[in-house]
This record gives sequence, structure tokens and C-alpha cells, in this order.
Amino acid sequence: MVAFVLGHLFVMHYQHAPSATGAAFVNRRWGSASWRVFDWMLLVLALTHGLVGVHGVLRDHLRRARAVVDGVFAVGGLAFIALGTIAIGAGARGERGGPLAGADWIPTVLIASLVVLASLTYLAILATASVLVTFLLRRRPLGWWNYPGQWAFALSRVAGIGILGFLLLHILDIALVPFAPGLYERTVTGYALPYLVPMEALLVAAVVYHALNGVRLMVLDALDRRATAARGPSVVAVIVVTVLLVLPSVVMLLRTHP
Amino acid sequence: MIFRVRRFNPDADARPAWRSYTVEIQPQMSVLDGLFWILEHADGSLGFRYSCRAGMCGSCAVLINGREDLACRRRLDRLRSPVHVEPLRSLPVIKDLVVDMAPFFAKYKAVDPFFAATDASMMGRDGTPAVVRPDSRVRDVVDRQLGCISCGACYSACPVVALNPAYLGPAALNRAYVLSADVREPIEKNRLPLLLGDGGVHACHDVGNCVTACPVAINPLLSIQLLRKGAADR
Repeated sequence: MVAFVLGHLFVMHYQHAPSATGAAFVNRRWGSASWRVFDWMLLVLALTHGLVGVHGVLRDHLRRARAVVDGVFAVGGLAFIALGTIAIGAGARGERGGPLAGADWIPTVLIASLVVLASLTYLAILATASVLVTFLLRRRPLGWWNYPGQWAFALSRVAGIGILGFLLLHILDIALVPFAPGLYERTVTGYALPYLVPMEALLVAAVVYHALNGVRLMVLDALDRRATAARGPSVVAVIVVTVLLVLPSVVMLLRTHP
Repeated sequence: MIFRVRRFNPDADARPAWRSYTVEIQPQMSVLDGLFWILEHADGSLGFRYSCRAGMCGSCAVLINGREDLACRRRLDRLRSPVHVEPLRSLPVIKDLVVDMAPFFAKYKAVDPFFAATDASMMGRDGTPAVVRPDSRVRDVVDRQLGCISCGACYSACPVVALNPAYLGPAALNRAYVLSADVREPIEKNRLPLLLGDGGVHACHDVGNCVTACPVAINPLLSIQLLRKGAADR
């Protein structure tokens, strides 16, 4: 899955700016059966992984209504996989028209949802920074945050939740390609709003970090006790590599949105 | 050196509060020695727990500058002033630095942590006399994981313990692995339902604080991983 995700990121965020990938781009891509298989594999793997992960987060915090959460995740997951499968299966249908062509509210709802997701992300970043500064100014222990593993854990969870939120929106917008390509075009154009542009780099950062952190845990497991001393530095290494890998997408964004 | 100690008496205080003490330190003094200095010279009401003073019993486990450690082993000449000392997390405070270890030991006990050899078990699981070769992988791992002093540092450092009251915690799961991996253990001691339940090995999120926090360099996360693999193999 790491290979699929990083491959997707390379094409969508390093070779192109996402807001520049309109219906014509998707139509070209879905003209190839291999890309459609690639996208479908990515859909199933990423969505399943994301739902299982966020389900685990909710189970840590919820003591009641667990059966309801289980049901919502199972039904919701199947519905989104079905929607994505139908969209990829239907494939390219031209760049105008489509059975949903008159549903002008869809781009508005999708862009508004992305604005909400962006607002929550920016607030989370501000809150984390202010808590950190407060602790540092008061010169008191940082509680759980004294452990690098705690940062890795929290960042991985926040990144995972954010990625799932974006993935669900992305499945909804990409499903417009076969059924209302014009509306898809309007939705993607909306992603170029200045307020949303930083989200493209943050999404790359979240995906790269989440993937590298997963690989880090697998390597630490494999190395067993030999890696005990490397646990803290490995978190720093993952963050540094993430920043380095995000830079090309930032360059791409600056070129597209000068 | 300044000591900042998180004081709390549940019978008298509404909430915990930091108190500062200026401690006269001598070469090679430990944090525990510093706490004794406060007790003898500054505040006789300070509560803390200790026993062996040699890093073997685990009684004096506290948070030192936010990390779990044994107060008797952490030397003051390797710390910068101020030194923050707090009680362990996820355990009820009895007074100041003394916590109630009952929840920790209740979970420890839940995994049936006792080795009880029987004539049958000494014969090994395949009916032949049990042999654990010195160079076997099982002995290699079990020997390293056996030295737990039950100080509660890993339990306190684990955020999953704080999130999920059912979670058994790293120490109990480590003990469960050490016994499960021992070929002499009676096979009828099946801990799988407990270990695979809500509080078992799959509740662990691989944070790894337990590995960093353990004062005797045990890797409870390795035991949890091996229990997961063992459960998957059965």
C-alpha cells in the first residue's frame, strides 16, 4: 500500500498540482486499464486501512455505542468502496454533460466540506503550537510529550484522521467524473482557493509521514531490542525525511499558485 | 539544586500543586536522596515510597522531569536544576509521590502470572522431557524479558493504559508472554481469550513509550508482538 500511495502522490502532487487535474486529466488517465486497476487497488487499500485505523481511534475513546460505530463504519465503508468502484468502472465519459450535470449544489457542498476540514486542520496546528509554547514558557515537564514515541503516535493519529477525511471527499468528487464532468471541473477549480492551497502540502505531509511512520514501526519490530536506542532518533528521522519529501510539492504549488 | 515536587493529599487538597524546595546536594546523591533531604530538612510531611535503594525493587518509581524512572538510580549530578518529581500516571495518588499500585497488580494477576510446574508439564508439550537449550530462540527472548521488577514505569508511560481502562498494560502482557513461551508451562493454561480481548495485545498501538521508560531495559513491546504472532500461529 505504501508503494501505491507514494506512487499516487508522485503523480498528483509532484508532477502536477491537484487543482490543475481536471476532467480531461482524469479522462486521459482512465483511458488506460492499468491506471484504473491502480486507482481501484489504491481505493480499496487506503479506504480499508483508513476506516480500520479511525475505527480503532474511536474505540479507544468511546465506551458506549460501540455497536453503532461498528455498523456505521461497515456500511459507510462498503458504500464508499461501491461508489469509487462504480466511478472507476464507468471510467471516462467525455468532458461535458452526464446524468448529474444539473446538480450544481454538489461542488458547493464538497468545497464547503473541504473548507471545514481545512479549518479544523489549521485550528489543530495552532492549538498544538500554543500548548507547546505554554509548556515551554512555564518550564514544566511536557507530560506524555516527553517521549518521542508519543509525538509519533499522536501525529500518526491526527494525520490518519485527516487523510481519511480528505479521502472520503476525494471519492465523492472523483465520482463526478463519469456522471457530471463539468461539476468535477468546478470542484477541482475550487481547490485553488487561497485558503485551501496550504492543505495540498499538508495532505502530502500527512500521507508521507503516516506511511514512513508505519515503515519505521515495522523496521523497529524487525530489529527488536537492537533498535531500542534508535526509537527516539527514528521519530526525528521520519519527520526530517517527511519535510524533505514535502518540499517538491511545495515548489509545485508555488509554481501553480504564485 | 531546586526540586519541584508535585504534592497532593486527596484528603485535604482540592487539586495537585507544585512545591519548590532548595536541596543541598552532595556528590553522587540520587533523586531519592534529594527527597530524603527534603523530608529531613524542609518538609516532614512529604510522602514517597522506597525500599531497596539499589534499583532492584521498583518501589521508588516516579516521574523525573516528565519521564518514568527509579528515584534511587537517577543521580542528581546528571540533572539540571530544577528537577521536577511527580507520581506515576494512570494510578490513584495516595499521597504526594505514593500511588496505589492495586490497579496495576490486579491486571498483572489477571494474566495468571505464576509458574506452577507439574509432573506433566516438566515432560514438555510433546510428551518428551522438556529441554530448553541455552542457544534456543525462546530462551534468548525469555531470559531478556524475565527481569521485570514490577515498578509500574511502563504502565505509567503507556498512553493506551490511560485511554482504555480494560487494557492490561505492558508489564502484564510481558509476563504473559514469558510464561506462554515457556515450554514447561501446562498447555491447559490458555490465556488466549484474555490476550485477544478488548484489553489484550491488539489494544496496544505500538507507541513504544514502555520500551523507553523501562528502567531495567526490558522491551515489553517485543513481548506483545510475539504474543500477536503466537496467537496468529495457533
